[in-house]
Amino acid sequence: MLALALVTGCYSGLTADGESDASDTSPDGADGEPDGGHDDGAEDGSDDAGDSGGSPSGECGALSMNMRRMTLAQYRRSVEVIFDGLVSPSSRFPAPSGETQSGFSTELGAREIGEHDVEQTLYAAEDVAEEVSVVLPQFLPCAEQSPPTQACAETFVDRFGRRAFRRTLTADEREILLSAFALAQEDGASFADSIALVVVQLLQAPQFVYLSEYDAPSERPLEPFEIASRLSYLLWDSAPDDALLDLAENGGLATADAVTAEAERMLNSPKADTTVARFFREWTRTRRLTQADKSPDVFPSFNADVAASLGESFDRFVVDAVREGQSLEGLVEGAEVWVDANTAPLFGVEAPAEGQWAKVAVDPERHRGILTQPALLASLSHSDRTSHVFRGYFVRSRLLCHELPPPPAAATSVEFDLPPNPTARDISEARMANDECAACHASLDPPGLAFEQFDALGRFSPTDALGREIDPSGVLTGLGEDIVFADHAEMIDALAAEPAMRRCFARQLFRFALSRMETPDDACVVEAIEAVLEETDGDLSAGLLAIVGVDSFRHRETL
Amino acid sequence: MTTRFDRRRFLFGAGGAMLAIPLLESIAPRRASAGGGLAPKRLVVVHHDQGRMVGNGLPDDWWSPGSVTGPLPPVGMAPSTMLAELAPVRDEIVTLDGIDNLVRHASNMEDGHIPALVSTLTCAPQAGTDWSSTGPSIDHVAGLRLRTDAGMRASVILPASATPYFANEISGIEFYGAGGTEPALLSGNPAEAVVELFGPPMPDEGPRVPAAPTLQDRMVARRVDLLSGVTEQLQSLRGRVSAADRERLDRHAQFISNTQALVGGGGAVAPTDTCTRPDEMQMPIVLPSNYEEWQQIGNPPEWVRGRNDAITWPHQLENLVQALACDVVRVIGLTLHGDPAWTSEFPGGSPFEGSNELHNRIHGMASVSNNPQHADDIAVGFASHARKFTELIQRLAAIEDIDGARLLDNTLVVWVSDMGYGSDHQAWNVPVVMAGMSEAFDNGQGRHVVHNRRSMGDLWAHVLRMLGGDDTTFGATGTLGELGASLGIGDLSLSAGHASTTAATPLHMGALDL
Repeated sequence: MLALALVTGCYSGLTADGESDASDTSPDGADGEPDGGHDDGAEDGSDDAGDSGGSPSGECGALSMNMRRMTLAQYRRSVEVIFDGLVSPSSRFPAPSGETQSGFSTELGAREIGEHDVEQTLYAAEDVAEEVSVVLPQFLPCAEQSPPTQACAETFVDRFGRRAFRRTLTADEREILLSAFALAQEDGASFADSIALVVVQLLQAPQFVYLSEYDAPSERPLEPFEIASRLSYLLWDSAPDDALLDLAENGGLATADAVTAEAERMLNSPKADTTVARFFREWTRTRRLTQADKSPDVFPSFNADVAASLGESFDRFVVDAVREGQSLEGLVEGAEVWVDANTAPLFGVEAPAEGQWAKVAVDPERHRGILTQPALLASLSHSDRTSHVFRGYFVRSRLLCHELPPPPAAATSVEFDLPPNPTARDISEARMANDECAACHASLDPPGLAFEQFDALGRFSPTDALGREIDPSGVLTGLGEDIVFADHAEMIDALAAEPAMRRCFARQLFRFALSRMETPDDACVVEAIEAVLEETDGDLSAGLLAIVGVDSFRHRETL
Repeated sequence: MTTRFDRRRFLFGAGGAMLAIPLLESIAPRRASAGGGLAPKRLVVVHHDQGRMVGNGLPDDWWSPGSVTGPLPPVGMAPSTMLAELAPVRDEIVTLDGIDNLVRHASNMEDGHIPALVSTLTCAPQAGTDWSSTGPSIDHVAGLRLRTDAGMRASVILPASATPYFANEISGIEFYGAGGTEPALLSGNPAEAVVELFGPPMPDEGPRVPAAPTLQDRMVARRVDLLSGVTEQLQSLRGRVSAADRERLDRHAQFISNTQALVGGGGAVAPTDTCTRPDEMQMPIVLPSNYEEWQQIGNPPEWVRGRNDAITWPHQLENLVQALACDVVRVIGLTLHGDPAWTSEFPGGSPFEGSNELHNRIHGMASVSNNPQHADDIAVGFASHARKFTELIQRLAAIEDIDGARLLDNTLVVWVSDMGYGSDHQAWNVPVVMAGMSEAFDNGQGRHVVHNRRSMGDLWAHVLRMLGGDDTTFGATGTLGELGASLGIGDLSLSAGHASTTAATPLHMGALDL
C-alpha cells in the first residue's frame, strides 16, 4: 500500500444554500477567493433590482467603473494606435500583475501602482520617445519644414495628445505638454528631440496610464469620448482610433442605436480577434502554454512549436465560432476544430500541409467543442499528469459559477491508503472515504474524472499509460436534477442544455466587460445579458455585445 | 551624470592617491593591470538560501531544466519554471543537478539551516554548534590566489540590496575568511559600498570637451522637470475623479516625487564600456545600512527604497562589475538575501514582508500543489534572484576588459545555494548555475549537466582548476564518517541527505562533466 499525501485540497461543508460545490484551487491558483455568486437573485429571472423608474440610465441604473491601469496588451496596442504602428511599445512598461478574482486580466488594472512601476513608466516612455524622434516626419509632415514651427508642435500635441488621452485635451493639459517642448527648445534640442520630450511626459501622464472617467455628484450619461473608450478597450483592448474619436466628436455616438451599431462594426473587425480570444481564454483559464509547462520526461514531443500551435488552435476555434454566428451551445458541442501539423495528431485527424491551418471535422464522441480543446485541458493539468480536481473545479466555478470556499488548512496533510500505481479514480475514491474531504469532492471530482480520458496534453485515449481502461462515468450534482453520464460527451451534452451554464456565461460576460466581479447592484444588468442570450438562443456575438445594449453601459454611477 | 574614467587614467590617478592617503592602500586599484596585456581572472560566487524552495522527490521540481544531461532550451525559452529569467543568457550558462552539500551532515546541531549555510561554500564543518564555519569559503581561497599581492583584498562580499533583515543572525553567514573568520562584508547601501570598494571619489583631472548631448542625455537631464509636468497633469485630472481614485492618484504623485529623488541629477546606472567608478552622489538614499541600525531607527521612508531591489540592485550590480573592471578586487561574493522581501516584485505589497516569512512559506512547499498561491508567490519572488543573475551576466558581457575581451570571458560566475530542497532541509541536489569564462568549459555552455552524485567539494575543486589550479579536493577530505569521527560526532545527521548517504560516503567523488 502506498500512502499519498493529498496535494489537492478539499473543503469542509457546502455553502449555505446547499447547492454550491467546492474544490481546491485552480491550476493557476487564481481562484483562491469565493467565486462571487449571486445565484439566488439571478436565477428566477425576476427584475426586481435597480428599477430606477424612467431614469435615463434605464431600468438597471448606471454602472460604476473604477479608474484602471492598462494591461500590457492594452498598452502595446494603444502605443501602436497612437503612433500609427510606426513605433514599438516599450518592453519596460510595468503592467499590473497578480491574481484576479474574476479571472479576467483587466481586473488587475484596479490594483495600486507601485513606486517601481512609476519609475519603469518613465523608462518605458523614454524608449518610445527615442523611436518617435526617428520616425516623426512619417506621421507629422510639418516636422520636415525648415525650420519647423511652434504651430507644428501644437499640431503634434493636439493630434497625438488626443489619441493618448482618448479625448480632446483641456487647455491646462495642452499647456503642460507644450511647456515640455519649450524646455527642450531652451536646451537647444532639435525639433524632433523636443517632441520626444513631449512624448516622455505624454506617456507617463495618468490620463494615458489610467482608463478614467469623470466623477459627478450624481449618475450621469457618459460623454461620447468616454463611450468610445469603453467600446474600444472592451472590444479591441486598445485606444480608440481616429475614426472612432471623430465619430464621438461629431455626435455619432449620441444614441443607443448608434453605439450598438458601432459596437457591431468593431466586433466584426479583425481588430477584435485577439480580444475575443482573450475572453474565451480567460473565461476557461486556458493559459498560453510554454515548453516549460510540461515535463520533458513524460512528454518528450512537447516543444515550443507544439505549445504555440495548441494556443493558436484554441484561438482560431473560438474566434471562428463567433465569426460563424455560433451559439453557446454550438461552442460547447461543435465537432469541428482548427488544426495544423502540430495539433492534427492530438485530434486524430490528417494534418494539413506544413505551415497551413485547416478547419476539420473530428469524431464527436471524442472531441466535443471548446471543453475538449487540448489547450484548455492541458492548462487544467499538472506538468506530468492530469488533474481531475483542476478540471472539476473548472466545471464548477467557471461553467456553473458555483461558489467555492477555500480548502481547509489540513487538506494538504491528509493521507490515504492507495493501491500501487493508483488511477485518478482510485485517488478520488480514497478521498471519498474521508468524510470531511468527501463533503466537497463528492460533487467536485466526477465532472473532473469525466475528462480523465484526455491526458495532460489534451490527447484522447481510452486507456491510461499502463493500459488500463479509464472509466469516465459519473454523476453531476448540484443542478436541481442530477445528471448521470457515461463519459465526457454525455456530460457536455447535458451541460450545453443546462440553463445554469447560460446564466453563468452571462455573469462571465459581465465580469469581462466591467473588469470586476458583479455586486448585488449589478443583478439587473446581469439579467439583461441573460435575457439577450435567451432571446438569441445563446448567440455568442450577441452575448459579447449585450452589455453595450444595456442603457447602463452609457451611464456612469457616482463612486 | 556619472563620473567616467578611462581605465589607465583612473589607475594612474589611483596610484597618486595612494601616496597621499596610505590608509587607502588596501582598497585602491592595483597598478599591476594598468599596463594592459593579459587580463586577470576573476570569480563571482552568488548564493541564495533554501535551494529549490520545495520538498524533494516530487514531480514538480520547478528548478531543474531536466533529468538528463543535454542542451538547454534555445535562447529566449525558459530553462525551467524558476529559471525562466535566465532565458536571455542561455548560451552563457551551464546548469547542474546532482551535487550534494555533504559536509552539512557532520553537525550536532538540530537546526535545519545553519549546518548547511556554514558548509556549502566552505566544505568545512561547522564550528561546534556555533553559527560559523571552521574554514574559509571558496571566494577567499580563490581570491588569495588571484589577487596581485597582499595589498588587495582576497574577496569582498556584497549584499544584493539593503533589506535590513539581511544582517540578522541567520543571513549572510555563508561566506568566511581564513580559518572561518568573518568575511569582508560590504554595505547593502550602494552609496556606502562604492566608497568601501573604491575609496573616496577621485578629483577630476582638468576640463574635458563635452560631446554633443544625445536625445538620451537630454531626456535624462530633464527627467525631474518632465516628472514635474506629469505631476501637473495628474493634478489636473485629480479634481475630476472619485474620492477613492483621488487617493490612488495621490499615492501615484508621491511615487513620482520619490522617483524624482531617485533619478535627480542624472538617473540610474549609465552603461559604459570603460572602467568607471560609480558615483555615490547619484545613488538613492538608503537607510538603514545594516541590521543594527535598523533596530535603532526602525523603518524610515528611506528604508522602503532600501528593501526595493529594483532601486538598490542596479547600483550594487554596477558597484560589483566596476570593482572587477577597475581591478579593485578580483573575487566577489554576492549574497542574495536569505529572507528577502522581494518588494519590487509585488507592487501592491509583498507577501514576504517581515522576518522569516519566506522561510515559513517554503516549509509549506512539500509540494508546489500544496498551496498554489504560495507557490506562485515564491516563483515570482525567485524570479528576482534569477533576473539579478541574468543582469550580472549581461553587464559583465557588456564591459570590455583590459585585453579587449568581454569582462565576462575573464570572469567565472557560480551561483549556488546551501541546500537542495529547502522545504525539508535536505542538502542534496543543490541547484548550481555556472557562467562566464567560456573557455574553461570543456563541453561548452548552454547545457544542463546531471551528475550521478558529486559533492560541493568536487564543485569547488573544479572551480579552482578552471581558475588555473590543479586541485582535486576542496575543504574536508576522506569520508563523511571520518570527518564526523574527527569532530567527535558519532551520530551523523543523515536524514537531510540523499537516500544513499552513509558514513562511508566519500566527500569527494570525482571530476565534474564540464
